Amino acid sequence: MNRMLFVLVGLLACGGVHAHKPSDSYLNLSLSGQTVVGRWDIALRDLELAVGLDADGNRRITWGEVQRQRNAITSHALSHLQLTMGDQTCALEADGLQITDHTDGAYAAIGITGRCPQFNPQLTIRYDLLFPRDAQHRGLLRLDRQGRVESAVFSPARRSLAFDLGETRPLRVAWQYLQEGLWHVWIGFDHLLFLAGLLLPIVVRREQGRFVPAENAGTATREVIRIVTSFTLAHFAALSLATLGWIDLPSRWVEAAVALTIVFAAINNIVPVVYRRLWLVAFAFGLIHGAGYASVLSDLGLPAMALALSLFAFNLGVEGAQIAVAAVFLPVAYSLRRHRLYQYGVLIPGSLLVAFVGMVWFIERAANQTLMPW
Amino acid sequence: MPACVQAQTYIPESAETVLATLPDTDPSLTDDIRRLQQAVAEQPDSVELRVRLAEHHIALYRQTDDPRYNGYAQAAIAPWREDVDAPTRVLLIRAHLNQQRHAFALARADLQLALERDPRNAQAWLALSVVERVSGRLANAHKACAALLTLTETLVSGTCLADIASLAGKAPEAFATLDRLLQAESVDSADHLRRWALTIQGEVAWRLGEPELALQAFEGGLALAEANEQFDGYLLSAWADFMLEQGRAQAVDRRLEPYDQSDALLLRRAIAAKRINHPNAGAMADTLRRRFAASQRRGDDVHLREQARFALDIDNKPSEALWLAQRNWAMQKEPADVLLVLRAALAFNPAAADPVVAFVSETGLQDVRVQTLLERLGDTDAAA
Repeated sequence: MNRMLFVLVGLLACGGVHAHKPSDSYLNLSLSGQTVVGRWDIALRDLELAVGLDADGNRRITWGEVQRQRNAITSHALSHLQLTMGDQTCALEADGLQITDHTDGAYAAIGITGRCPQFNPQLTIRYDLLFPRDAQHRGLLRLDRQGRVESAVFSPARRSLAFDLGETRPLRVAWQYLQEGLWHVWIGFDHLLFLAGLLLPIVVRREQGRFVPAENAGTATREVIRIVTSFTLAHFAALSLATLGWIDLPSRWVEAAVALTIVFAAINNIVPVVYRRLWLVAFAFGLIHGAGYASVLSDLGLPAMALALSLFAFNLGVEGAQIAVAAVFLPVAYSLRRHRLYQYGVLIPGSLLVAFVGMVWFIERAANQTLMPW
Repeated sequence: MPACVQAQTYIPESAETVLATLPDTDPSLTDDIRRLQQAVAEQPDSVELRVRLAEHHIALYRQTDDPRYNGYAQAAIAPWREDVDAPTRVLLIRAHLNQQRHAFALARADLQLALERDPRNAQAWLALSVVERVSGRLANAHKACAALLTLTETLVSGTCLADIASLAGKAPEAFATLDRLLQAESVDSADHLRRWALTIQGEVAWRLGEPELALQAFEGGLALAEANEQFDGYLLSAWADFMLEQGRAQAVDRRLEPYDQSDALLLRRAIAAKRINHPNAGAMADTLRRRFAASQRRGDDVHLREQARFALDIDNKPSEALWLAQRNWAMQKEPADVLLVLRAALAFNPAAADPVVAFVSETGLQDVRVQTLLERLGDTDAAA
């Protein structure tokens, strides 16, 4: 009969009286390349079970008791959490211990920092806090991958979660990179400036101290497309090589060289060194610009396939933006090409301005100094 | 999303600052648990030790209503997580745990297995009757209660049978039976069994439209709980719902104040607080909102009934309430669940009540509140 009575009282609770809250821990991690930072909130109730906090046995857990067990808490926690990238384990360290409040009471908030030996998109997180003691414990993970947030739950049946950091719907990523490419031209002031340097003389070029207007619109258009596209192709090639790690140039000097190309293009408009085959110049300069931008993409840690697609999409964006700028510029400039206003009021001062800004950039980048606010 | 916002961290003022209070549990039970844990560590293959450890944890759960103890019990029987050859006592523990997380089909399967092996297991029959009752399978619930007749004292089997009969069109007879049982048989019965019978009697009287009799039964049960210093969340919830309906929000706020840890009771208190313009009404609602969010992040579905009620009585969001009430209806079919769907449907989309209306007419549920709602639904039909 005794066991019989035992079940009765509890059955009444079936109506959904779920007092208190089951045990959860909150694991928030942010991942950037090989670096991990985060915070892990574990209920003091659970830490009492795992490492023992109530030293004086008065059923009250004080801040002093928590502090005395600080090392036991952090080492217990970290020994039940493992991050691996590929087959290499990331080194995790506790970074401070404070208190935080959740709906059911006080939790220890453990700061976490870590570094993985080598970036690999195959991330695995293993979690086995408390499971042998409390089968209803859950680890609530929130993983922030540079703004992309994923939530997942660890349970006794699911102690390990795998993330493919490169895994995303390829087309969505490509679209994102296409926009990045457009945006890169739009806000990348150096890109626009360089483009201006190359486009200004399309409709009217200097030859032996005289202005020679383009014969017809078709020639001018073909020339623009040739320049813009050869620039993009070179940009694409260099960016790909650098991102794949096949060439590795010191970024500061590449950046300085980018500035020099701007100066060269502008001076060439006024005192021409290269008359014909400007597209070749554009191609050479595209190589340098592409190498300069590689650091941005290589930080994102994308797998090879996604990377190729992303690079392609990115450069498609760059090309599109350049064509768009040229499409607005060309008709206006073409119709004005015979006017002295364009020749002396736009081409010469514009090129001088571009040359000046390019020069300042060169000095800034070469000397690692800030002269202008952009 | 509130669940994603990280709470601020802080360093407490002094080393003496008390951050948490551990539950005040029966020391003899905790001592036993410590000894059993040690024994399990030494003999991890002992069925007897593991089962006893799990049962002790469940006893603590019943004392405190703290779900962590269910987790500890589950860990103790982890070797038989899905094993169909698990010992019968393990099956009963597993059924309890599954029922707690509203996995009624799993609970039923384990109980049926236990009863195939041991048809005279009263605990299993009683547990099965509860699972079938919650699932709205009243004929099966009745069979399980009937099986108890020769296995337990009359107060247990009689209360079980009367409860099911009251839901199946025989409420006045059920009330009379309970009255008789409580007067004649219960003198020698344990207090918690009488408390159970009184709770059922209060609910039956309320459904019959007899508020004085209902109040008398509920208060009788609460007096027994208080005399034995026992917590009975189900009875407190039933009483609070009754009092809220009687317009006595003040009394609900006062009596439930010590139990804010319980989501179901905090919900009743928050509804009461809203009605009497309590200064903390908003804070209580926020706490509940955060608890529901925390439970959802875990992937638990155990709060649907409370969430639907919250959406109806606190948030005034009938569309959300209806969606929650319907999801809850897929799992639970007790009178409280009937009421939720009917109320939400009436507020948002009367046609959504159809399956519940059919259930009421099939089972013959007698409940004045349900009747009122059905009449109003009929009016909307007539108007349309």
